[in-house]
Amino acid sequence: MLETLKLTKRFNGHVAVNELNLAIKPGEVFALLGPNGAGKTTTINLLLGFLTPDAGEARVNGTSVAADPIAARRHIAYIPEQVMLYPRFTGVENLDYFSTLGGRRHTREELLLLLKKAGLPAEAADRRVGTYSKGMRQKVGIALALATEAKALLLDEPTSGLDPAASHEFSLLLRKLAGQGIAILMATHDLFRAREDATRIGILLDGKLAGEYATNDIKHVDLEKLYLKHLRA
Amino acid sequence: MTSHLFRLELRLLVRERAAWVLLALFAAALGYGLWNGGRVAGRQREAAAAIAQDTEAFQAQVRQHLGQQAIDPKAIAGRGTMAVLPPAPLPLLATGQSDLSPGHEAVVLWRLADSGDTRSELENPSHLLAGRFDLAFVLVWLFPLFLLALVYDLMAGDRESGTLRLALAQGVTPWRWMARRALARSLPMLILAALATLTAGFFGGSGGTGTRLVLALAVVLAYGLFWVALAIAVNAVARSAASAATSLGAAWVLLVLVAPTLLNVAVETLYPTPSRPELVAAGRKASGEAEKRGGELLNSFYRDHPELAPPGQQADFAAQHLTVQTEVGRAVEPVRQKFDEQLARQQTAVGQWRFLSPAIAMHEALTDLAGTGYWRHRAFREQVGGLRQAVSAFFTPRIHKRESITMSDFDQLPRFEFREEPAGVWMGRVLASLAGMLALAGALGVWAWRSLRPGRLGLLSA
Amino acid sequence: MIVAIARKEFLDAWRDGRFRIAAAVVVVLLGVALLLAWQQVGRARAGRAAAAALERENWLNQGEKNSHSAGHYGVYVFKPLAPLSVFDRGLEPFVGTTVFLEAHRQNQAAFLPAQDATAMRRFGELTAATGLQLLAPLLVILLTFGALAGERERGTLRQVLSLGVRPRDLVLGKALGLGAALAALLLPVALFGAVALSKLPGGDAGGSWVRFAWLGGAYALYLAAILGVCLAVSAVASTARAALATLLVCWAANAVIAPRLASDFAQRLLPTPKLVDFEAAMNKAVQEGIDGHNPRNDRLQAFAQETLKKHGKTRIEELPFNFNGLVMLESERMAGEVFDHHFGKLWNRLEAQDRTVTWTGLVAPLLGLRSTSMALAGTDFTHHRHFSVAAEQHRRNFVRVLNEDMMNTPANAGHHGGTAGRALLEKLPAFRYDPPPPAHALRAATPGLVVLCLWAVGAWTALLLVAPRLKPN
Repeated sequence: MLETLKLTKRFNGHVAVNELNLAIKPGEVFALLGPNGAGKTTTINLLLGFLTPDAGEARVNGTSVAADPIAARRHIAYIPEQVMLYPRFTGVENLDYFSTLGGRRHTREELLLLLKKAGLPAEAADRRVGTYSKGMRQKVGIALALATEAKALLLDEPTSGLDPAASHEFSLLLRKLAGQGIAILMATHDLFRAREDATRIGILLDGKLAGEYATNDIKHVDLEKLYLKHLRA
Repeated sequence: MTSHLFRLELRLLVRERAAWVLLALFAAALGYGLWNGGRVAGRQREAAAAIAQDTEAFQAQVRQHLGQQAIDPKAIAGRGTMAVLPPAPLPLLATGQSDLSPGHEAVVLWRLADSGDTRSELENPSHLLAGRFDLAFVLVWLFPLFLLALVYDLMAGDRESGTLRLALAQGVTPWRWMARRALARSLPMLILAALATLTAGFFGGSGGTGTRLVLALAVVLAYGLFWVALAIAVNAVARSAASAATSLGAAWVLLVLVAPTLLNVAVETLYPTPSRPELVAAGRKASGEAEKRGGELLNSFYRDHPELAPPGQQADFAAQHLTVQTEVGRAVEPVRQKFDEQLARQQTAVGQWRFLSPAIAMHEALTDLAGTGYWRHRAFREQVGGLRQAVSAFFTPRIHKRESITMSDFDQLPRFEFREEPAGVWMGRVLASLAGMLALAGALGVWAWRSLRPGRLGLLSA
Repeated sequence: MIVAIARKEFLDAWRDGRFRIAAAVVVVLLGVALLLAWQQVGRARAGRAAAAALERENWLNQGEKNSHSAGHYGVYVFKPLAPLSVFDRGLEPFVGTTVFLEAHRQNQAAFLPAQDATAMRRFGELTAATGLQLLAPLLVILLTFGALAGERERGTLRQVLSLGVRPRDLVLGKALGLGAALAALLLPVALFGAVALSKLPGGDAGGSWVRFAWLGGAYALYLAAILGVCLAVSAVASTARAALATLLVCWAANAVIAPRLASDFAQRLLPTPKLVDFEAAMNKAVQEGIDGHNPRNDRLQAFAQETLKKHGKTRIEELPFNFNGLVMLESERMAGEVFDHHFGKLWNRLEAQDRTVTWTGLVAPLLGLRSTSMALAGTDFTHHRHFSVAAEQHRRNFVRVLNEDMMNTPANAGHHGGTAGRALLEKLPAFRYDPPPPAHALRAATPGLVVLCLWAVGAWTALLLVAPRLKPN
């Protein structure tokens, strides 16, 4: 579903993403680990078509992102680290606005249902987003993914700044989405959540995939050791 | 789908209290501008009507007299013939030059060569300097200001906060997204401006104003479109709402405040008019010389026009004065012509360079449509020149020959009838202004569209 | 401490690319405006002087005619352009340049330069004055809107205050530094203006240098007031964006909307009479006396009786002088009273309108500055009035001399006096206009200066009041 083939991006001579090969199948959760500046966000930007690659290709559902970014984006849902919404709109209105931008109209009942599925408290749906917490805004983002029936989900640091309870709740949602056959790419620093939620883990260093592991094969403690080993290497 | 998004954009707009304040202020400014323009127009209409009435009464009086007996031309030559510029077709649209250029002038046979006072109303000079708070002021100066206050942040703010990434991740093209938002946010103000323009037509117009009104509407919308296109172009590249606001503010200052004054300085430097005082003094010199040769001039005049020589060759004071006057006119004419030519050159240059700033094009178009612009007033001045000739042609031979005016002459008495500029001429200017503004708006739109191609979006700041 | 902060702000301002571009644009515009105005004013002054010289020739060479005809021949006088109109054209384009002086009538100055110009004039004129009035405040806004609000947003304000800097010192330091940056920009412009003035032939007329110094003071007050307001807004605003928006709205209200609104308001409050009404009232008063109950003929009859009685004669022909001349003198005197009354009333009205506009400067400081600037530059209405009065004085003097000549010519030499030869014509001096001294300008500028002082004091008081309550975030 999400594919990168020798994907390369340079900024002023510095190589941010270096011949990266990824393939994430439907129902898979792939966690991209790596220190700041490793190229995680750049990879996401390339998959979204916000950046054009210098070499290689990113594909979403078989469509080349560079050739037709709009079509590619129609298959993707994207949840940035901070889901930014219009503070003067309510949760429902924001969902309505963004899902319509994504080409899907829904009735108000449908939208409320989607928000409920995403775990937003019913009383909050008609409140202005200006009063929402980060976790609540993220749930609107999840609802948006549901609303546009995205086949792939890109998450940028989804759990940073969430309290443990909210973080746990988010994990459950994520697994549910994967269970529905959505391919998920999650860029994160959170080793614990990566080990818990992901089916596969990739460690990104200087734009290159330094190691790739199936989560079933490793324990929590080992993941941290592995990560630090790669970092020092 | 699109209409639903449009509605949502409008809903976003109406949730901003500032938007309501801006719209209310703009509506108030438009209303005040219309009302104020109406007062000025009313005053001018009254003055024109009073003069017309006066002229008519005098005509009736002359007619009655002629019914009884012939009249000595000298008896009525002194009263003069009034030339009045008829009220403008759409005076509420723009006061234009009507508070500065005279709207009526008395042409008196004995003073044909004089360069008299050129004012037809008392005005406080500081009022002329400040300019009027009329509809044209609101439309040319304030309309873009208010419009920009609503549309300065079409995308830059979203880029800053990150909503832009989320929106574009949904698979919408940035161009379409921004154009829709621009339209939604500018629509209320465009509607207000259009309504005010229509009001100016319905309450102020005087016959045959339909075309003018339609054109005025088009010009106003094109002007608005230009500023919206500018906002789109700036937002396509601006990194933050604050920098978009600063750039657009600077553009407004340069286009509306600075460009016209620069153009003014440029045309006055390129085509300087001769000094008016020198023209006056030169006229006096010519008249002094002509007067000294008065008798001689008259004699040579009679040699050239024996048919006009009075019976018995006894020249009188009036005949001599007229001959002297003709001579003065002839002597001063070249200087006066140079003056007029330079002025026409200046205004032609303004016309050519008006595309430098849409504010200039808009101002020229609005005053043209209102009928208070430079060219209509110039046409009036020129036609007053024609009236001078007519007055001279009617009275001079009769005074020389000492012929009385009889009933059969009544229809030939000089009268002033203002001929409006041919519609094709002013319409050509207005349409060119319109096309210029649309072309500028289009160029900005294309530029913005090109800047919004993927890969040039600069989305990484979020 | 304050000096250190000021120095940092000063350098910061000059390193800000946006400010540098804007400053360059403004300075270039000011320079161009000064240069072109210097050229234009020089040409206009030369043109008017040449016209005056030619008109003097015309007067002297008008040929032999009786003295009353010479009075009707009249003379044109031309208003010399104030030297400082290089800096501020003020009302010059909108007041007449030429007055026709003739027997029996007081004429208004005619031929407005703006009538001999394109419609672009109505957008306002590019002069150094308008540049400083409209564009310099924008520079101040650009310089200051982020000075405190921006630091608050970035979090540097917390840092600075956590070092124990007193908020008042911080604000004052910023004000001084930014003020110095502005001064460094504008002082060369002022210097350039001074050079232009010194190179203008006859540029020192009417105490130009004293006026120039006061002008500098007035503009400094204006910009200081604006600097104070801007910093106060920046100190209170929660974000730089909010500060910028507030200040731009204030600028537009002050620079674009207020002048027209105030001018309209003054017109409504104190309407200008219509020209036809004004002239009709004046003509009526000439005929029937100022109070309307004293017809001219009755007065002249009484005057004749009185004169006969004074000289102990019974018939006019017995008087030892040409009585017609005396009548002319007397009727000019009577008409003069009427003119003084009516023109005085009109001009007082116009001045009252202008003063009203100046006082609305309490709301929009530009209006206070504009009238001050025009008054000091010698291009306001009070200066135009001063010229008009001088021209009328000249008219009365020359008509009086001609009428006295008529009076002293035996009646049988001609009804309207004897022949005015070149000797008589030369006896009448050419019109020489001395512009009023700076004291006149200062009197006219007083309300505006008061407005500006109030603004400056008010703005800085506000700044000092908000400074101690500076919120770190």
